[in-house]
Amino acid sequence: MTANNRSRNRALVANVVLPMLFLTVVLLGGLRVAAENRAFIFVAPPLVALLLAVLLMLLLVRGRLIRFHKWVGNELPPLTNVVHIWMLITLFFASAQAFNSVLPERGLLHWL
Amino acid sequence: MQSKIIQVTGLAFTIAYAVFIVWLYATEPRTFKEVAISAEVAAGTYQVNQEKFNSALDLFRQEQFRAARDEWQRADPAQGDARTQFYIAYSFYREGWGRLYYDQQLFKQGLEAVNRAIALASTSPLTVDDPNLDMHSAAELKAELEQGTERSWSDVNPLKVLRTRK
Repeated sequence: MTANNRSRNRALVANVVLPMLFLTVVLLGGLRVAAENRAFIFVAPPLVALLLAVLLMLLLVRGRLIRFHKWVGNELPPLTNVVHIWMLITLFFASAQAFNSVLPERGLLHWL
Repeated sequence: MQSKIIQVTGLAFTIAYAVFIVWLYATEPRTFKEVAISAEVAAGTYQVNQEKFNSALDLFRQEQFRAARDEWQRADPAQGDARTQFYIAYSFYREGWGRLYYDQQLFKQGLEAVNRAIALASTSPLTVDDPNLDMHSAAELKAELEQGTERSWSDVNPLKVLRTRK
């Protein structure tokens, strides 16, 4: 029973909580609030943030924090592959938006 | 089996959440109120505030065009109603019309509003049956506004002072 609960909770974390968390980072990473009228300003990730996110993903794979072959592969069921690819996509955009939230909005990094 | 259900449910929820985020970034609402209005527009349940619309119409008939526009903008904050946008454009036309010259700034704003009205009523030509107006279709109004913003030699024709406002 405990093992059953454990696997169910793991599935919930992997398939619901983590993507939701990443998507919340996507939502909030580009959100600014104007000082004068407290209006929302949505800033889409600039090209440099996307490039940094690509580099971060490569680093995660190279550092074996993400074991890509265990996440996506021939031997896994198609649905699991789809879910894992979706998770990687959300992780990628969360990374991009995390960079977007900390990078200055003008300057050297925006020459691209 | 249970893990499959969790996977499918999780995928559906997160895709819906992602679509919501993309929609937010595409529509760029500035306040929570605008989020609600944009959601109403997207769901097709958006309606103009009829009370404010009518009070704006009264102001328009009393030639208080700026006040009328202000009321219409409050009646249709999402700029999603073709009829209201038509009236806003008309108020720009009437305020900008002059016997000797047209106010270019107001005519340009009117042109933007009438283009919005035409875009909103793209399925059929927009006509407004109001006996107090001389132009009933958005196309007529647009042509009049466009003529007002164009410069030509006929502008120096002194007989132009005899023209009438529509």
